[in-house]
Amino acid sequence: MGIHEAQEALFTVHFLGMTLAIIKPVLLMWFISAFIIVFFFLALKIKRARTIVEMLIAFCQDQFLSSFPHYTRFWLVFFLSLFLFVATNNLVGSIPLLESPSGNLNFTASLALGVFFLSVLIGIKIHGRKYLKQFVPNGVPKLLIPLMAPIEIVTYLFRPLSLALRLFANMFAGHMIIVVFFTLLSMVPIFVGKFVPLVLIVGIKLFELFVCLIQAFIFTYLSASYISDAMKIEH
Amino acid sequence: MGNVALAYLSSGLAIGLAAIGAALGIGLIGAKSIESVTRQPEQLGTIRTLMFICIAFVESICLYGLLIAILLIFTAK
Repeated sequence: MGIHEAQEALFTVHFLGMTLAIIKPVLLMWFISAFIIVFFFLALKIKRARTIVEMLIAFCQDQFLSSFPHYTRFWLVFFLSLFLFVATNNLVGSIPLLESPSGNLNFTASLALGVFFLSVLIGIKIHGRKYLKQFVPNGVPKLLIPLMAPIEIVTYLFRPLSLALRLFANMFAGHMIIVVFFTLLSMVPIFVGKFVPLVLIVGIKLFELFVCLIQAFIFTYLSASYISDAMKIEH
Repeated sequence: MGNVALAYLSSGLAIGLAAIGAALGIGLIGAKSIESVTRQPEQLGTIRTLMFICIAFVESICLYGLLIAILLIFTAK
C-alpha cells in the first residue's frame, strides 16, 4: 500500500512491436497537446484568442529570450510551447476527477532530459570538441584537473535532475498537502469545528494554483538559461 | 526501536530540518529584494521576477527533503 503503485492501464496500444499501457496521465497529456494546438488555430480566427496569444508571445520574449544568443523564431516557438505545455499540465490537476501529469516523475524527467540533450547537442554542434573544455575552469594547474573535473561534471549533470525533481516535488507535494488536510477535516468531530480546516484547504488550493504557474515559468526560464549557456563561449 | 518507528522519526526530522533552511533562505531573499526595491523603485518588475526565481531555487531544495519524508512514511515496514 503506497503512493508509488502502478496505475491501471485504461487501454493498450501496440506500436512498433511494443505493447504500451495507456494510463490516465498519458491520455490527459494527449488531450492537452490537442487543446493547445486547437487553441493556436483558433487564434487565427477569433480576435480574443489572438490577443491572448500575442500577450503570451510578448511575455516569453521578455522573460526567456531577452539575453538569448542566436535568437530565431524557432526558439520563441520552442519556449512558448514548453511553457504552455507545462503550465496546462500543472493546472489540470485542479479539475475534479483529473490528475496533473506533472505529478509523475516520468513526465517531468522526460521533459528535463529532452531539454538537457538539446543543450548538449547544441553545444557540441556549435563548439565542437571544445565543448568538453567547460569542465576545466581557467588557470587550474594540470595536477588538479582530475580532482576538479568530476565535481564540475556532477554539478553539470545535477541541473537537469534538479529541473525534473523541482517540478515533480512541487506538484506532488501540493497534492499531498491537500490530501492531508482533507484527512484532517474528516477527523474533526464537531460540525462547527470543520470550519477551520476548510479555510485552510481553500487557502492552500489558491496557493497551489499560484505555484503551478510559477513552477511552469521557472522550468522554462531555467531551460532557456541552460540552452543559452551551452551556446555561449565556454570558459 | 523498531524499523517503522525509526522511519517515522527520521521522516519528521527530514522535513523539519529542511524547512529551517528554506525559511531562512526565503526570508533573506525577501528582505534583500524589498530593500533593493526601496533603493530603486523603478526596477520593481525586474526585481520581482528575480525574487521569484531565487525563491523557486530555495524552495526546491526544501522539497527534496519533503520527498524523502513522504518516501520514508510510505515505504517503511
